Amino acid sequence: MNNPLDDIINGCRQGQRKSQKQLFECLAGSLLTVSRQYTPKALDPMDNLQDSFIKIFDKIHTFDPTRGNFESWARRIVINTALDKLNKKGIEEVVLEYEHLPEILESKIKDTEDIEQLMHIISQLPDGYKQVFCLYEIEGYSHKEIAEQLQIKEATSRSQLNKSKQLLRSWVIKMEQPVFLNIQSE
Amino acid sequence: MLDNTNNWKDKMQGLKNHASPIDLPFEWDALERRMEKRKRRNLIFWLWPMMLGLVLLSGYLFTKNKTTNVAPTLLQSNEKAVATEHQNKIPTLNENISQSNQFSNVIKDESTIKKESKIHSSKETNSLSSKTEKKVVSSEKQVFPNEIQDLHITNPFQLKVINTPQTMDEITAATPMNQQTDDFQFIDNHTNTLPKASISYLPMTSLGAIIHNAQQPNLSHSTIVLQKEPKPFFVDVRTMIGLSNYNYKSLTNENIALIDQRKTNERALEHVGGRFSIGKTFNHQWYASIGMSYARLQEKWNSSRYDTTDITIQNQVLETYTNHLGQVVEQTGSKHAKQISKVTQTRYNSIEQISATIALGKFFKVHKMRWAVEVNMSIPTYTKFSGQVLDNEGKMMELNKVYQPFNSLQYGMHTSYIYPVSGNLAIYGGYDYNFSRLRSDLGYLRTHHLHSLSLGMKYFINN
Repeated sequence: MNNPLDDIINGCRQGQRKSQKQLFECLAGSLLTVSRQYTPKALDPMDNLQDSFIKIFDKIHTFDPTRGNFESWARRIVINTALDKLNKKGIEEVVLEYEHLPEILESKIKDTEDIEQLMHIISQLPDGYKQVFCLYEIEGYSHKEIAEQLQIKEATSRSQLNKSKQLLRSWVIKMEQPVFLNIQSE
Repeated sequence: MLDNTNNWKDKMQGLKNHASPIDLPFEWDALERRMEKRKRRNLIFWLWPMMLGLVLLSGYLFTKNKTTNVAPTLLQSNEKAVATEHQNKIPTLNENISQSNQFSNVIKDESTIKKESKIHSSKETNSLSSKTEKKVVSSEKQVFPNEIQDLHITNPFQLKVINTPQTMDEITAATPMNQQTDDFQFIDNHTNTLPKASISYLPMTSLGAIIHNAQQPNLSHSTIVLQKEPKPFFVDVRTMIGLSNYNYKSLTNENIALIDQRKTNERALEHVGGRFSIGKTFNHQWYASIGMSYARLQEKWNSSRYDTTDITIQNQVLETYTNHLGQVVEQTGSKHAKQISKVTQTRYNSIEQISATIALGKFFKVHKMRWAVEVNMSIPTYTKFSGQVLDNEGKMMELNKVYQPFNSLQYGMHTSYIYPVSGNLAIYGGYDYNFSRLRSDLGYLRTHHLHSLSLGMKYFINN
């Protein structure tokens, strides 16, 4: 029996608007999460998602089912679209002072049950840190792959990952303080 | 460490599989609108270059085809004059006619004609004609008929022009158009696309040259073919791209705040346009045309709103009091508050308009370069507004409910440099300025100043 997603993909290949809508409804939620993780802070993740879907519909005829599942392919497009924008915008330089954070703070992140809250915290990371963090921690890329993808050195990738973790820890400390309110969306 | 815990890995996996909340119908509508817009935009950006390419190609094919069938063209000309100093000595055609197979639309440079006319007086013609040496004069492409008239004035053989259409028929009927004899030589090595003339000095008994749309005054034994009213009609295709500028004028005092809001939030972006018109030249210098224009204006609209979120703030001072020892004591705890954040939204709106256009223009020449100036007026026949803006209460409203579509008369001027590609075809590039205004139902006018670079072609049609 055919996978319903296959029928939708075939419909999209033929340019059927109904199939495109079904595909959007299937994947929009999960791909928005990806978009929020990788889109530069100054840009709207929803815009990036729309750009990605336009690319997906344009390039769907190049999708090869033998090389992986469709969701991973679409996910890859969303990431690349966001990273393209990041490359155009330039990676934001943030100077962080070294802070020795007590181990207890790690447990605060671990105990953060609400995925949405975690998403929100991660999305506040500076561009560059956020992308490295997500590529390494969520997508499981190696530093070498990240370096190639972002056109940076491997050492920079390692450094940015560590700094992003430090920053996350420091934010978790401040989560219960009003300072956190200063992080506003524009 | 942070990343060595299973719990952390689970969280990251959870992030990977997490689906963010999304308003599917709303977002799909937005995506669908963008896809439609992109489709239309693609069409616009491809349509005009394609049209231009098509017209150039058809012009080329038409010209190419014409050059191999010059004889019928000559026969079809209504008013032709053949001037010859020895009209009774029209020689045997097969022997003497010398001409290019691509001469139909070529004229000799004016200065050359004047110069050579002076050199070769009538007394010298016999000796000249007896020589068999070949001489080639420069030629140049001709599109604009007014230059022919100028030549008539300076041409010493003007008085000797007589109407002998029967002779021309005979000549053209008997002339092998693709014949290349020793008496002619190509001047220009460009390509076959450009018609060229080759004029030769020929023996007494030869028919010097037959030049459609041109003349060769210095040849005593030549035949000069003229057209009195050549190419009066033309087809004009123009594409335009440029930037716009908006101004606002309030019709009532109450709208000053609204206009300030418009000025702050609304920004004109690029516009593209095209025009197809058919025109006629008068007096070889002036022209009038009528046609259809399309214009698409893009604009960007920024609007901001403030979102409020309920939050709880920890470790806040709830109360202070002074105890019996005179110390100030603070009571702390969590406090409910509202977080206000500014959200900026950007919208891209567009106005598309199809209008009927009339234009009046003039061709002129500066330092041998051909130019044209034109004034035009457009009457909108169809206008489509896409997008949303804020009304005076800060609510979103559709653009088509803000502006009235049928009162935006458009006035414009155009100036361009014209390059003749062939006898019939000229391409041009120039500058267009257009002015129009939109009347708003909200009590203000928006004026548009459109500055465009234009590229186009004029194809002149033989009478």
